[in-house]
Amino acid sequence: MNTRHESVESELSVRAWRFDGVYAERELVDALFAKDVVQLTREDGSTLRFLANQVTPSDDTDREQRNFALPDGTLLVIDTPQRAPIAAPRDSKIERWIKSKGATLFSVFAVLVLPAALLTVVIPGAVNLAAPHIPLTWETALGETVFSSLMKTQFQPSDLSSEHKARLTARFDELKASVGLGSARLEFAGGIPNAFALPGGIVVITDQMVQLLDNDDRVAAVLAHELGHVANRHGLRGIATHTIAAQVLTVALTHDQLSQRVVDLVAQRALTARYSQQSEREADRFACELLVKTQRSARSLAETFERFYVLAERYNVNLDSGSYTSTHPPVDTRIAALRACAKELEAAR
Amino acid sequence: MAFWKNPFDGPPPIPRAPLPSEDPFFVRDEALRTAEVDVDAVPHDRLDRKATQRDLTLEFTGDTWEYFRLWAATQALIFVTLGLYAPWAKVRRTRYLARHYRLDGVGFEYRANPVAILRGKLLVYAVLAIGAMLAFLNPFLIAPMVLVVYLPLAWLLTHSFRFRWQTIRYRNIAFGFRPDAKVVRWPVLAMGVVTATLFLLQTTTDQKTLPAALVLLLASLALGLLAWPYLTSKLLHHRFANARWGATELRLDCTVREIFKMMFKGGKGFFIGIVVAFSVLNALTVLIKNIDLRSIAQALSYLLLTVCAVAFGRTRRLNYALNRLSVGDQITFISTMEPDRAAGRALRYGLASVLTLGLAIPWATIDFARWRTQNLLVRLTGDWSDFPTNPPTVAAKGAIADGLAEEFGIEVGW
Repeated sequence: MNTRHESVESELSVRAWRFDGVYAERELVDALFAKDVVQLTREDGSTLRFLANQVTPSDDTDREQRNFALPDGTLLVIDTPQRAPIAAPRDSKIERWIKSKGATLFSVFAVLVLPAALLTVVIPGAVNLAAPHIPLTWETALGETVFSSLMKTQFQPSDLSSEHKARLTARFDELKASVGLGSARLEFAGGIPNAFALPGGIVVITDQMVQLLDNDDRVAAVLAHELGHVANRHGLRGIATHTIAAQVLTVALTHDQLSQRVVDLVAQRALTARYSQQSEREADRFACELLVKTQRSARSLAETFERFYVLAERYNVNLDSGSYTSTHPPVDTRIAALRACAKELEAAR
Repeated sequence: MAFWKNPFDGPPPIPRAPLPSEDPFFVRDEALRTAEVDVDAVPHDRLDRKATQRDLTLEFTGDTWEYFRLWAATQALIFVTLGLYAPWAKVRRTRYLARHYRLDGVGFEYRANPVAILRGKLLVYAVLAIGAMLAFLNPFLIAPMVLVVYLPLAWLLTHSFRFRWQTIRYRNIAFGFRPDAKVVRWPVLAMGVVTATLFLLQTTTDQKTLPAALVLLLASLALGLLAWPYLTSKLLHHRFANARWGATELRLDCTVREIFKMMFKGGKGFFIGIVVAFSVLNALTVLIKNIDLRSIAQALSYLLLTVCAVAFGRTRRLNYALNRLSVGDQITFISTMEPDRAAGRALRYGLASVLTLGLAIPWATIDFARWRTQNLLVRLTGDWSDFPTNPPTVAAKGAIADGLAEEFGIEVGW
């Protein structure tokens, strides 16, 4: 039994159109809405009677036309150009809320704030809570697959001398041992100047980066930073957070329109940048602490960044940093933060 | 009082004749009168009204503020319920829009069951989650997975059309659709093979070598200029040619090849202009040092290429199909949506939606619906009583197929 109908206290008689669902033409009828009954009088004088609580009215968002589904499968349409009072549905709680005065204001606020909170706080928080429980073997398998894919598509085998590699690997082993990251390993590759950490503890540094840094202490500082990504499981967290966030955006923006796809793309770009910049700051702090812990100068990483900055200016190269869509925070703020960290930790030591 | 309390209660306004700019029929008739009739798009025999024909009033009566309130409230509920409310939101919004498309004074009805859509969506998310997990563990699995996904896609797409037609009613008579997966099977599989090849190349080869770059370029061109336009043209043809309203079949008097050609033809060089503008803008983005400015320029070039070009091609194709569509022998259409204006609108809607963080989406929806009705003439030969007796309506099937097709973003919208 339909309970959405609210009975009327006084009778209401209106002219209405009836569509029987069999023929395309409509039939003009007199509709009488009484307390418990809806009665239709046809042009030939015959009547049809329905229990009012079995008549389903349409949403009342429609200001000029009300539809009523009748239990015999027919449809009653009432034009209300004078906005005549028509017996209305008893709304569900959600429908009542949608129509309430404060709902629009709250909704606009929620539409702007909730996704931001969900994407920037709730999902990363949940991923951070779940990350320690994800088996390390999964993460390692993922890292190995990504590494082998990258070596086939983006990088070439390293040309560094085996002595140089051994020297840097020894530095790396010393750093990782001091923070208990025994499973991490260092890989060398040829390609554009870069250093990065993959899920499962694989740290990759290119020959060109080693040449650019031109000093083993600076290389060690960069490796300490990459170990920060390994320790915080940034690779895994980044992929998981981004995947879930992309799904949330897909659900929220139903993509009925091209404009919604554009909003989705922009939001994903901005989110990737935000997660990535946050991870870089965490890795910087970790590197600073690690360098101090291993009796090295915590300022070496700041000096390394300064070197990047100078070289980028000299060769007119864009560093992917310092903007809302960059994957890295502004270099000058990173340098300042590292100097402050070094000062603080060295003073404490 | 138990009467319906209308928020606009009070004395009725004094009726007055609408100003020409307020009258949707005047605007539409002006648009039809002044539009440069595209000889490719409108057959000449449709332009003259015969003695037995009458033009039906078609209007969109939706209100931007009213729809904005509905959209915002349902959007907030989607976020609060972490997406579970999405099917109900979709039904409420579509119902609102459908009922405000008034043809001959009668609105359309949308009668989908949100629970069925939710079931479909949950299944889709389960499949996607498994796929994402496999891709997460081994990116080399992406290419075979793409192929596996494309295998049942022809069935899913055609059955999704059935669901969409069956959930719409006009004059209490449901539309229907006869899905035939065989018709689109080969184009879908061809597209699956090209897409899987692209993924395979990206994950296994050194992209910096010339042969790999050439293969990638050829695969991209095959996808963008051949497979995708041909598949979507085929789907558009299938969607209209196999539909019916009650017992009356819809008839489409053109071939897939003709629809396909329309994507690239004419338009005063507009399409070429977009492509040139995109190429120049894209080249310039490389020179921009500021990363934020570069991102904005890249987003603009994306808007130009995809939103404008897709809107342009899609509108031109849709015009062509609608102008050759009839419902039995009784109803014909003349669609005069200008493709360059459609592209301009798409660009405006896209920019406004991005700049308002999505809040302009309801305005874009209502504005486009109004424009669409102003540029569509519906002509009835004879009377409504000339339509045959209709069979009883059956419950709509295919919510799962609909959910899947929507997730894959294949051209299922109008």
